[in-house]
Order: sequence, then structure tokens, then C-alpha cells
Amino acid sequence: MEPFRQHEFGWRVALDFLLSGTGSSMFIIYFLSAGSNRLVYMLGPVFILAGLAVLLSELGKPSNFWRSIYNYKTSWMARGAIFNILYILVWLAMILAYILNLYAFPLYAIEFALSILVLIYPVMLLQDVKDIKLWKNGWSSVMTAVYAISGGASLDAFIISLYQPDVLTLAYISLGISLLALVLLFAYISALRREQYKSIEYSLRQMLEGDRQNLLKLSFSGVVVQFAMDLLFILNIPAKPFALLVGFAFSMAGVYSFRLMLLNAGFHEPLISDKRIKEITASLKIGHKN
Amino acid sequence: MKYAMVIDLTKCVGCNSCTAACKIDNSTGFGVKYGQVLELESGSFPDVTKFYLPILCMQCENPECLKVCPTGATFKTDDGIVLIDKNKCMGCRYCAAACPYMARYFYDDSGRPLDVPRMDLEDERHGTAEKCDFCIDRVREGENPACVQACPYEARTFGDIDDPSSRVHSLMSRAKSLKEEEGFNVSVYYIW
Amino acid sequence: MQEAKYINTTCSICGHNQCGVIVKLVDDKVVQIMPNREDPMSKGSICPKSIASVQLLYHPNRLKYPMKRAGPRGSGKWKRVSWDEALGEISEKLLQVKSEYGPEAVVMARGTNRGSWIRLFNRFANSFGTPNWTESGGAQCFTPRSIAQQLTFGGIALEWPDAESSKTIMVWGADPPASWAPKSRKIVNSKSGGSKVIVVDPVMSNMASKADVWLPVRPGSDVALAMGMINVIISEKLYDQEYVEKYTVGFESLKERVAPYTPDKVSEITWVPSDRIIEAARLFATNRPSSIAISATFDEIVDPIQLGRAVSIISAITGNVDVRGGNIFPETAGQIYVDTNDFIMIESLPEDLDKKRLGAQRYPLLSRYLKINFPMAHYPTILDAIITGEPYQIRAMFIMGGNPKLSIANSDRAAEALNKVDFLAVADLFLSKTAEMADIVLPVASWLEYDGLADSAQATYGHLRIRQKVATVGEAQSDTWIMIELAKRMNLKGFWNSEREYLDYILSPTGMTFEQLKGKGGIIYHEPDIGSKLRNGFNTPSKKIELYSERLKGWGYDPLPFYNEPFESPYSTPEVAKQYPLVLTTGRRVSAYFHTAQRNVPALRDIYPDPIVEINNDTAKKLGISDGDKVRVETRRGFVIMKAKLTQGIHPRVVGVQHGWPDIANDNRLTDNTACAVGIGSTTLRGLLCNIRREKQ
Repeated sequence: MEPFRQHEFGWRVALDFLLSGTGSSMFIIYFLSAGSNRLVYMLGPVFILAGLAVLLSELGKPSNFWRSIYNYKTSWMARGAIFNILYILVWLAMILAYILNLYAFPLYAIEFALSILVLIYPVMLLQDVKDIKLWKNGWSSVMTAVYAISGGASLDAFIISLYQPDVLTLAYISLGISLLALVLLFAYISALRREQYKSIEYSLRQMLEGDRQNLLKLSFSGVVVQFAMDLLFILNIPAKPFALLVGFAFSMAGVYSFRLMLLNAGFHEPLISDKRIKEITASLKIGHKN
Repeated sequence: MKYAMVIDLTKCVGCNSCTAACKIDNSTGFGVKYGQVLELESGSFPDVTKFYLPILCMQCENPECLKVCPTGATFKTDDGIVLIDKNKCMGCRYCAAACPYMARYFYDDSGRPLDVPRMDLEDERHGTAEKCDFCIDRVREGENPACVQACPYEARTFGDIDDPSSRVHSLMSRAKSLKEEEGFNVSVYYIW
Repeated sequence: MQEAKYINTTCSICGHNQCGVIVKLVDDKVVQIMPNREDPMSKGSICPKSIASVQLLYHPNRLKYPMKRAGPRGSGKWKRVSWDEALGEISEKLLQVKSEYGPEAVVMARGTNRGSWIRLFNRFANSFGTPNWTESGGAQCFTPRSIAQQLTFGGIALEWPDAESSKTIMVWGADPPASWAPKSRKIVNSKSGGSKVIVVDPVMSNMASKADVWLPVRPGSDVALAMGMINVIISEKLYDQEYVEKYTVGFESLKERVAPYTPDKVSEITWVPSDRIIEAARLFATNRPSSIAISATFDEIVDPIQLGRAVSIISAITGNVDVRGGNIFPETAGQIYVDTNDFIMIESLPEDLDKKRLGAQRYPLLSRYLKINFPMAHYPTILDAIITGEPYQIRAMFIMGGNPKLSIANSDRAAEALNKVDFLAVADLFLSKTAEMADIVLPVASWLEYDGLADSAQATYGHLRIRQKVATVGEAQSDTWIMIELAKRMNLKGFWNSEREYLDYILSPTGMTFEQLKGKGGIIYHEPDIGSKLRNGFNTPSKKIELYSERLKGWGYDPLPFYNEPFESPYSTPEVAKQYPLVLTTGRRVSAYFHTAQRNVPALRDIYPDPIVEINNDTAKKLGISDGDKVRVETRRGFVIMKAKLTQGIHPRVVGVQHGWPDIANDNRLTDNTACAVGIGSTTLRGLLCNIRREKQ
């Protein structure tokens, strides 16, 4: 029997993941680079909010969204909802602190921690689907996270270049992470090739030969262009922030393609193994017994 | 008390009477099949063998769908049936993605093209996940699930697995299940 | 909400009155249909069509009142009229044609037998005086195999496998799980009890999935396979010597005739491995009693009489006719009280009209009265007559429960003819593709909407049950009611004043009325008297089973079966095969649809949403076709577009298409209606040449 493809999560879920991944990772990167521009910190949650809006539009009964925090004990989606809501609340607090001009570092630190949670919840959410071996795969989780961070870093680099064109730290970070993503992508594919699961075999076929191969190509080119543009910027070759804008656009396309590919190439393991089918047919003595 | 179903693959000829009965009884829309019959073959012509595999919600003891459900809409009854509270479900489809048995559907009433009887219920199911519930309303009134009642070949047996006098109980010694190595502890079994 | 009510009745969604069902009503609305496990005949058999009848019954597109065309033909403009007006106009028109052009200018055509006795339509036509009544089935269903069996053993034993007592059951050209639920149940139960099943089918069908031996015959070469099996049975001396001597005639000539059909040669013709032919023949002949179940393939190959004869002979020489566990002769109840020949008033039709019947010259076995048949006109000849005006012009057509625009071979020609006929009246449940062309359409009741008597000459094993009215939809009326009312208006002899009077007439020899029978449980059962033919002689001139048929010889046909290659095949037309290399079998069935019907029932359409063509994986791979692709299947006549289903359960050079789908997926665009079977006029639906390619998706 052939593995069956999942149809539940599609382009909207990928978009939600893209927005929340970008928002959270731009916060993380900027925080780690000890950035001081408060507006950049404010921007991350806007993405998350947009992501939530996309998610709501995907729901069959959005009016029940408030219930989604109930089953946090076992469901990563419930946990994700909680992280997102807390994230927004802390963001509101940050805005308040900004307006009142209060000391806000603890809020930033909390938001940083929440950013990490928001970053990892989609990874864990997919990881928790036992039956879709592509999602369950550890490499998929690593790739999802690295891709998200590369997008965030690219965005950070671009925005900062508008304010401080001479500071190259973030461009270097973006360069490094895009290179990492590129290298990992090859490792990822070859790691998947070694998997024994039939569903992963199908996933790979979808990614490499099927109607998902453009997505793979796009996620590949995304990080390549990001890398190239960061390099141009660092080497100070032609137009300045413009290169980073192009890099960011490609990066987004790459991250989105990767997410979409991961969702669309998700196959369930066959309901019944070929071995079991043989066992049944042999014992039923149906067909011809040659 | 635990309800279970045992399906005899030697008797199923893939006529889909069960599927039709299920669709009528549960008033499901297009593309939604709480139960369906798969056709499987092995070998190559002319030495080919084929059989039919009816599938439905396996009513796991450790359901993945329940685990991942964020709202707590999915719950288990004392008699071992996994149910969905339509008022709590927010329609995120996570359960459908997590179900290892293709048993969960997302309900969207655009799939109902016609005002046809048994498809025209005032629907609180709209926008939620749905699936086989072993026809719990019928079962609690002492009837069999629709698919069991419809099967012309009596290939399906339904009953309380904990009751030593029940037919399902007596069939259990030979029964096997799908993906049993995964430890979901299902309530739908097959014999062949 | 009221208490639910449960009513026992008999389903007839397939026209064969097979299954006893229980209808659940709430507030006088049908809500559920379930199998009746207490029914002594069907014992719980049911099919998706029956279960989903609740959606058919209350379907919003049901015809609810008679309608008259209010624009050009086929324009879709209709005007509601009363029954009185509709029936008045039909009878006036038919009588006018009769008086101006003669009764033969009126064609009466039947399709699905919606539970009324099909012979009632026969009687209606004969009483009206037209020899030109026909069935969409006609030469394509039951008639050829019935005649072949009448000639061989004077009855239709192959319809009646006593499967529950058989040790071996051979299912040939039939898929009981898709179309004969009670027979299927008997076979599956027998199999569970340890009996062996042989299935002859080019495609691994539902039934073949339960086969111990599957014989994937090249479509259309079935006769060769049967001859090969007879050859094995005779040359290995596996036949029942005593039975053959006592109860058959012509064994020696048969032996001579089958001698060239060695397993190797037959394997070459039929593409079935020779060891498998031998295995099946041995199993059938030695693991006795053995029975045979057949169906429409026996009417849809190039020379169906030969197949019916040859397979009857397999059963006869192995001593399996009229024995427990073999093929038996139950009385078919309901109509047993009335002599069928009397009932259809065949004698009221003058000899000259019998000769004038369209098809009488070329297809006498179908269209002349030979006392072993119920002669009917040949459908393709009728269509030709409408189009060409030869040998005479057809002026009016009354179609009941048929959809010839889809169901007649080379359907484009059928559409042309329907468009050309002066007056067309159609009675149906829905505005079918055929009804769309009509001048007047009449709304017909489904099986849940009228009282009736239910049995079948092919399926009910001596049981007569009643059907009960449980619902009313619009002004829809039963076929029987329509015929009786029309007969009244046309002053036809031999008709009744009401449906009830008719039912009582049929039951009168039992001394019961319909109401009384209903009060007594609604079932009459006649235990088949197995062995009576062996004791008293078969209903043939020689009183024995005629392996060699003097009657056929007398009519100028071969008295022994012989194999005829299909009119187009890789062997008979190798030049055609260059362009069309694959062998096609049309008419594949699924359990959810009866011929062209039920595609509009949502629950059923969801189970089988697409028209399917089955093709071998390896062939598909070579042609770049993947599972689920849209493909074009083309013959010399036309093409269809269907969805490919890849399987190993079909020969790499064979393709199987489903039938009954409308428009571009109508498999009768592929079939031919000119090369009809000798004597009987069947068009070839199994064993054509085609090619297949991937369509733009």
C-alpha cells in the first residue's frame, strides 16, 4: 500500500509559520547581537500578530480560538497559542514602557525567552505528528528552525542597514546563518535518503522529482541569494541597503518554500505494511497460488 | 466495558454497502467517509491477489488525535469511544493530520451540493473535525453501528470486548490490528 | 417526533426484486433502509444502491408531475400538465400513428424493469398490436443466454446456482458482489464453508478477489476457454459417464468438435495460462457438486449463443444439472400461476406482424416467435429504421425506464435517432439524457412508492414477495399504473381497471388477494423440486440435455458450439490492431450504480466519483500514465475520457472501462452496433480494439 499524503496543513499554515518564525527569530538575533534600536524590537511581534491573523482565517470555527489554550498538557498547538498570547501581552507592556519611558530590560529579556518558545513551537507541533515521518524527523526540525533564523537575521540586517549602514555585525550573522542553512540543506537531503520509512521515500520523491521540486529549488536559491547579497553588502560592492532588501526578499521566499514543501511533502506511513499484505493474501488463499 | 469491532476480511468483497449506510446514517458531505473500503493487491499479473480492507476510526485507547487537540474538544467515553465535542472544536485540523488511520475529516458544508435528504441536517458540525463514533447514539439504544447492520456478508462484528459471552470477545484470539506496533491500542480488529 | 415505524418490503433498485429490506419511517418519512436478515430469500443481502434509495426517493431533481415540451426538442423548456392531459395525448398520438401508418410504426422500448413484471410491458405492446417492442437489454441481456440454455436443457439453470450446497462454484462473466447481492452472499458463504471458487473475468473483479482459480480470459474469447475446459474434461475422462449416457444427446459429436481445443491452443487464443485452464477444469469436474453463475457477458460477446451453449455443456457433462449443489430449475414464483406465453398475448399478434418485426429477417432467434423466447425487435435495427426510413418509417416511440441515449451501442447513433422520431414519450424518475429529448415525460415512482409483487426470473429462487408503498413523491406513479391507465384510454384488450386488480389477477390461482397475502406475511415460497427433470425428462424435443441441437440445425445454424473470433481483435483484424493494439472490455460494473442510473445520488457518487478505466501498471508505465490520470480511450468508433486505475489484476494488453456514465465518459461511444451476433443480434461489448493515451490533465 502506498503512503497517503496529508491534506490538512497547506499554504496558510506555512504562512503562519513563516510570520511567527521570522518575527521571533528577528527578536532573538537582535537581542543576542545586543542591538539597541527599540523599534526593531517592536517589529517582531507585529509579524507574530499577522501570523495569528492568518491562523485565525484558517480555523473552521475561529470563535472557539480562545479554547485553544485548554489542552496545554499534551498539545503543542495549545502551548503555541499560549506562547503567542503571552508574547503579544509582553509586547503591549513593552509599548507601554516605551511610551512611559520606563526601564524595560526585564521585559525584553522575557520577550526574548518567549521568542525562543514561539520559534520552536511550530517545530514541536510538526515533530509531534508521529505518523508523518518527515515531520517527526529531527533534521526537519533543525532545518525549520535554522531557516526561520536565517529569515530573521536577514530582516535584522536589512533594517539595521537603514539606520547604521556601517555596522556589519548583523550582515555577518545573516551571512553565516544562510551559509549554515545551505550546508545543512544538503546534509538534510542525504540524511533523509538514509531513512527506511516508506513515507519518507515518498516525501523525498515529491521534493526531488514530484510537484514539490520547485519548492526545494526555491528554498535552495533563497539562502544562496541571501548569502550572496550579504556578501555584496559586506564587501561594499554596489548599492547598499538595496542588496540586503533583495537578500531578505529571497530569504523569505526560501523560508516560505521550505515550510510549504515540508507540509506538502508530508506523507503518512501506509496503514498496512507490504509484509502484512503478503501475510494476509497468503493466508486468505485468494487469487492464484503459484 | 469497551466497544470493539472485528472485521472478517475473508468475507468482505468490497461492495461498499457499509460506506453507503455510513454516509446515509451520518449525513456526511462529499469527500467525507467515516468508513471506507480500500482495495489492496499484491503480486503481478496473472499471479495477483487482491483483498478489501474496510477502515474507520480505530477508537484508539491512546489516541493521537486526543493528544494533539488544543481545545480539549476530543475526548474519550468510558466505553472506549473517541468523540468530538462540536461546541469546543475550533477546526484547526491538527487532529486530522495527526491521525495515523485516515479517519478524521474536516467538515465544510460547501461539500454539500444538493438539498438531498440525509444531507440537509442543520449543521453544528460546520467548521469542525468529524469522524466515526461507532454510531454511539444507535449503540446506546442497543442497535449495531450502521456499517455493521448493513453488511450483507456479516463480515463485521460489534460488541463489548470485556464481555466474555460476546462474539467479539470470542474472535479476539485471532484478531490483529493495523499499525499495532505503534501501541495505539485500537478497538477495531481484523481477522483473516 | 413520532415513533419510528418499520416496514418489511422488497427492494427493486436493480429491477430484480432481490432483497428483502426493512424501511424505517419517522413522521411518515423514509429515513433509513436496512437489510432484512429474516428474509428467507435474501437473508440480509443488500447493496449501496438500496441503502441510498432514501436520497433517490426524495431527490430534488425527481420528476414530480407530467410535463410537456414547451420549446424546441432538447431545449429544456417544459410545461407542467395533468396526468389526464399527458396520458390523453400519448394515447391519442399512438392510436393516430397506428391508424395512419400501421401499429408497427410505433416502437415501445423498455429499460430497467422497475419491479413490475417485465412481461406486462410485453402484453401491453402485443395488445396494442405493435411487434416493435424491445428492451435496452434485449439482445444484450438475458435473451441470448436464456435461448442458449432453453436449447440445451429447456430451462435457465445457469441462472440458478445452488451455491450453498456446491463444493465448487464457477462464476463466469459476472460480478455478483456488484450486481447480484443474494447470489454473491450464497457464494461467499459457501466459500467460507470451504468450497472452491473459480472466476472467469478479464479483470480482477470483486468476485475474483475471492477466487481460488482466476481465469483472466481475453475479452471476447470466452467460448474458446469453455471449449478448452470441455476438452480437458473429456480427454481426461473427468466427465460423469453415467449422467452423460442417461441424460444427454450428442456426446460423441461434441467430443469430436472440442478435440482441437487443447489447453495449449486455447491458452494461445485466450491468453489464460494453460495450466490454469487445466486446473479449473479438473477442479470443476472432480470437486462436485459444482455450480455455475453467469451474467451479461453471455449476451455481449460476438457470438453469445455459443458461449451459453458451451458453458451449459460444461455443467451438463459433469453431471451438475438438476442436482443438489449444481444448477437447478426453481419455479419462478409470482408469475408461475399464469402461463407466460398466454400472459403476453403473443397469439393476438398476427403472423404478418411477427414477420414485420424489425430484426425478424436477420435475427430470428431474437425477433421471431420460436416458442422458446419472447420475441422482440432488434434495437439497432429500430434506430436504423428511424434514421433511414427502411424498411418502413417509425413515427412514434414510447420509452419506459430506459436511457438508450447512453445505453445503446454506438450511442451517437441512438441520439440521432431519438432526435428524428416524430413523437417521443418517456417515463422515468429523472429527466435523463433520453427524457431530455422527449415530447412528453411521465414521472415514475421508485420502488418505495407503490404496492407490487416482487420476484425475478433470474434471482429469487422460487420466492414471491410483496412490495409495499411507503412514500409518495409528487404525482409520480408506478410503471404498472401508467400502462393500465394508457390501456384504458386506448381500449386495449386484456387490461384491468387498477393496479390492485392486476395484482389480484396474478395471484388469483392461489385463491388469495394481494391484501390477504400481505396479511399472511407477504411471502410465497416454492421449494425447488430438484431432480424432477432427471425423472421426468428435460423440456427439449429429445427430453434430454441437447449437447447437439437438432433445432439449431433445423434453423440453419451449427448444432454444436464453435469458437468465433471477435469481429475485431488482434487475430481477426491485425491491421486494425496496429493502430488499436489493446483489447477492450466495456461495461465494468460497480455496486453503487445500476447501468446509467444513480450518478446523481450523493452518497453513491461519493463512493465512486469518477468513471474508471482499468489498465495494467506495466502498460500504463510504458504509456506514461499514472494512477488517477485522465486518459483517452479510443476505438474506431469514438473515444471516451476517463480516470485511469492502475492494477496488476488485468492483462497488460487488456483495458476495462466502466459503463453508464454520461457524455464524454459514455463507453457506448466506443462500441459498434453494425456487426451484430448471428441470429440473435447482440452487439459486441466485450472484445473490441482500442488504444489509450494520457490526456492533458
